[in-house]
Amino acid sequence: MKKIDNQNNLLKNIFKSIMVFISKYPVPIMFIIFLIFTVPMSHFTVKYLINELLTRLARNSFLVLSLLLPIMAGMGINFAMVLGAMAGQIALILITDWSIVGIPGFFLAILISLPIAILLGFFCGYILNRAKGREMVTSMILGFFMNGFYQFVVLYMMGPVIPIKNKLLLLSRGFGIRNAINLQAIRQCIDDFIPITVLKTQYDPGIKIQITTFILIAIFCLFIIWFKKTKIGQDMRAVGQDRLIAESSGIASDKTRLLSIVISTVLAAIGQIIFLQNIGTLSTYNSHDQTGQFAAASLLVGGATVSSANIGNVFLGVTLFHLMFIVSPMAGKNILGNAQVGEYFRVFVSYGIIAIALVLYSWKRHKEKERERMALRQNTIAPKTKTE
Amino acid sequence: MGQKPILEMKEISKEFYGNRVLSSVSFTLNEGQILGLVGENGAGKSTLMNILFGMPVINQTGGYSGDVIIDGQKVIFSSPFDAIAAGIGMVHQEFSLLPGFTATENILLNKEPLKYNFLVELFGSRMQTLDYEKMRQQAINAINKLGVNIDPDMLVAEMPVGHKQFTEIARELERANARIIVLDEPTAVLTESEADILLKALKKLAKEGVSIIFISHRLQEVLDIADKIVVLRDGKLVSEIETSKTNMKQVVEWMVGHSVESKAKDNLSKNISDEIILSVKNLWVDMPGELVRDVSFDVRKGEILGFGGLAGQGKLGIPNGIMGLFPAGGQVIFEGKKLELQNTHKLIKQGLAFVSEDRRGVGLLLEEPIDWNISFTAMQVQEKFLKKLIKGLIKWRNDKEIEEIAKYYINKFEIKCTSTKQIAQQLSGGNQQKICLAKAFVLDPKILFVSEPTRGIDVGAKKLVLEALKEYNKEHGTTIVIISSELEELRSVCDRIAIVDEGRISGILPPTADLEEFGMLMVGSSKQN
Amino acid sequence: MNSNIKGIIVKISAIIIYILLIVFLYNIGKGHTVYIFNQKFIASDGTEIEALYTCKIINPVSKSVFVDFANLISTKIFGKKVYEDQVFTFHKGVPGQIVIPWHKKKVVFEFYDGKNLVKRIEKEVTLDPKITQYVWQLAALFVDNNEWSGQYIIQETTDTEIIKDTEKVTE
Repeated sequence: MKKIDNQNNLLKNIFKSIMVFISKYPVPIMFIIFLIFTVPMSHFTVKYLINELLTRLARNSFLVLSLLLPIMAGMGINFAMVLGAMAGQIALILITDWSIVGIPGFFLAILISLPIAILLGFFCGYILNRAKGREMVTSMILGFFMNGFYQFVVLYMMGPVIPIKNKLLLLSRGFGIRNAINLQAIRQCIDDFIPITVLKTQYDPGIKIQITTFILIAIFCLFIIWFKKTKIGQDMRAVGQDRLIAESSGIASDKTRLLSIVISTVLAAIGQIIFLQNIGTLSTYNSHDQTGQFAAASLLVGGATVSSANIGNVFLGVTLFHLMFIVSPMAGKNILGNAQVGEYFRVFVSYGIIAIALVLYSWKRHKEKERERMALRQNTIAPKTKTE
Repeated sequence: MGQKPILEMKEISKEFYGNRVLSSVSFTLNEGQILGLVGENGAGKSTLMNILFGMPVINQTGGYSGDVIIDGQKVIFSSPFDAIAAGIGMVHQEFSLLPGFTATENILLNKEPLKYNFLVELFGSRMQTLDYEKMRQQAINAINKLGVNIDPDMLVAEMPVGHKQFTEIARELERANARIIVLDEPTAVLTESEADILLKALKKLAKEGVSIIFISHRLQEVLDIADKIVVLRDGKLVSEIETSKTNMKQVVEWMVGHSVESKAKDNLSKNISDEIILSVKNLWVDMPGELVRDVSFDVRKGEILGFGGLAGQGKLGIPNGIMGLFPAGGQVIFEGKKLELQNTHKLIKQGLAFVSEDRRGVGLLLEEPIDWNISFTAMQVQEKFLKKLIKGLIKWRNDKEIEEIAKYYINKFEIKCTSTKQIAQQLSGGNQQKICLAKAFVLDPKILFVSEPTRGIDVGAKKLVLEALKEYNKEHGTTIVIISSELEELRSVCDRIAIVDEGRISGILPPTADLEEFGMLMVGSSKQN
Repeated sequence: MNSNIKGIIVKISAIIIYILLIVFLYNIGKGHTVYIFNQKFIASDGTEIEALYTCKIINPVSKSVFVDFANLISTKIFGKKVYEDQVFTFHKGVPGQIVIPWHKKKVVFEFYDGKNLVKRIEKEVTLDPKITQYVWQLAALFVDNNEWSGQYIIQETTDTEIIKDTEKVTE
């Protein structure tokens, strides 16, 4: 009798911990379930999927990593990372104009984008500091707004004010940059720096591993881990948990928040350069469009929330999210006979995921607060009852 | 315990917009001495400590007069950082800890020991990394100073409440390198054993030379550990005396004052039936700041029952919970039937009414005229002031009746206004309160809860409001439950008075009882159910 | 204020290093952009051969101090020169563009069909500081795309009239 009881208890406990686990990571689990159905449906080979995934991991991880610091500092998802992407793109236009080739070109682009990104980061951080409590929406709108400014620079100032020597970069009217710029100069320069291809056969190109890019990403991850141990990192974590308490302890919360945005913008610039270097073409007016949304969606799919995100979330998220990307068109075609459905699905899912994650998070916080108060209420004591 | 005073507050006075809150309060505190600061709410304790701690609210409202003297030198604190620099630490009632940090990280918040690295030259001193070992050691030292057992690596979010309290104290010790620590109701959220540990820890601290100011309404605790007691009442210092030279009864008397003449009402002739109209059992209410933990009481039909007690102890939570404004639970039986606590609409329909203490937030539609305010609830719930057309299919507002009833109450309560159509927002506090009352009377309820009926209104209006309640009770036989912080008010109007302490009823007394007896109940010295 | 001076020195040196890095990278990386159109060749037996998939550029001549410096370092560290043969691969259907570092004087094109060398072109190029690029438009041919059929040779745009080059074509 006792044995059955114990077994029952064990089962109950396992069930309970499964439920707790699910409630802690609803979004990644939803995604995994979705993928379990669609991946087989797409009829892709495992090799192909792995190849694609590795490429996308190398391409996108940096961008998603740039979102980590603002979340740590309590500013939510920094949709204004697109400002950093814009800075990177301006730098790329310049080095293409100057015809700088290969790895030097890559690093030069990064160096040039630095001051631009830092400036934009300060601007963005300053504004976000005045929109406390509404940082995410503000950053989103700021991203849209700065898009206009970017277009002004690229469409009107490049040519007349910013000298562009390569006439082929310009529009036919004589000023303003063309829609698409071939980044042949630096195409895959980092990716191919140490070319490693495994499982290559005569008929099969094999799986390409972009070692250098991954090394860069790894260096950056180490940087983040080290950064958390610095005083600034600790201050950021404090400000992220409770700004007022941090302030009352003497931490300069505004400065700290500003710094997190600046770093995030700079990293987004570098990330966008890595991204574009892999793709090989700069779509001048469109490449940065979905940067924020896709990065945010990837992060949230990886199990991060608006107030806490770690490196594991980044890689898990990019993997799951982009797997969905790869698989949806073919799955859509095979299931519904229409590949376009897959396309729609991508955009729908990326925005939808952000919405769901935000709602779930807010609901969970509400429940937690209620639970805290219940605990406070149950904590009853009788004071001493000595009478004279 | 040294004999020279480390802190002296001399003739401290403070006014808030013409309202005198502190008058010439003076006391001294020696090194290693524990001082218990007691007094009813409104007596000035918080304000006094805010002055000591340099809280910005003091400067923003005109500063203070008098001197704060530390180590024989006059000091002026314009911000809490000044106070901290001078060695004063303050532990507030609400914890200010970061839940995602460990005890160590919280204790050393912004005071972490750092290790140099080269990047500092480039990017500034904040690039230094944390010296985790030193941090841990410092935290352990602070914890040991308290003599308690906290795990320095435990996250605050996972700590029991008592440990959080200790972590906070340890932080103040570290932060200010504190020589003086002020604790504001530290035992309020602790279990009995945790409270014991805290008191022991405080005694240990004092022995090591840290001076402590201990604010608590739990007199027994104060008497247990304090070396001297300072009693404030109505902003004045009533007594500064060594604990050994006094006792609880005397302190309570100082706190609540002498019942010089019995201002109890002369309604001994009133006949109160034994019929119970409302029976409350094990009520709990989750109203932030006024938690009700376990309250049971019976209300007799036709009586005026008062609820008193110190602020934050839960008395305001009782009507708010019963009427459904805050989450609540428990059993409430009205006229023999069980009540659905959260269904406010139903409750009003069944004959309960509530005048909230939050006039502007809950009681009034500020942008609507007086007549609307008075008739609104009755119209919504009881369908009064409506013309029913086509057998009730179409309900039309009866403006004439609304106007008439407004005029009636404006007259009766002497509401000062320009017309029945004046917007409620423009009226003075006292007149607004009268409107809230009128709104409740119009409902013709069987039982009326009134919360802080005379808060913030002038003397004349106060009298009128209380008279109106008494009269309504007499004429209509309506049962009235009044919740008030002013004991005198309750004693002048009620048939019975219950005192709420720490979310429970600590006792019910007749209005004729001595002030000291009330005082004892308020400080939790005896408990009856 | 010893530490203050130290700090200022470090910050200034950082800025100087930053500027130096930019100059260094600029110089190493600067090159010409070469666009390459598709080529269709006539083999000796008259068959037309598809446009190429790989184009290899061989040039042993290097001219610049920076390049020598970089080569020196890379030889020390990796054991081989970093500025040597470069292979540019074009995928079918994608307009190709290659960038030839300006310091190269001779450019060799080898056109392959699969593994067979089909055509080899050597071009000697004189750098004119006013011209920043040569433009040979070469795009990959779509097999089914009739528009692109026909014979093309390596074309130059009007921009590049000034450029002197000798073309040696071997087949």
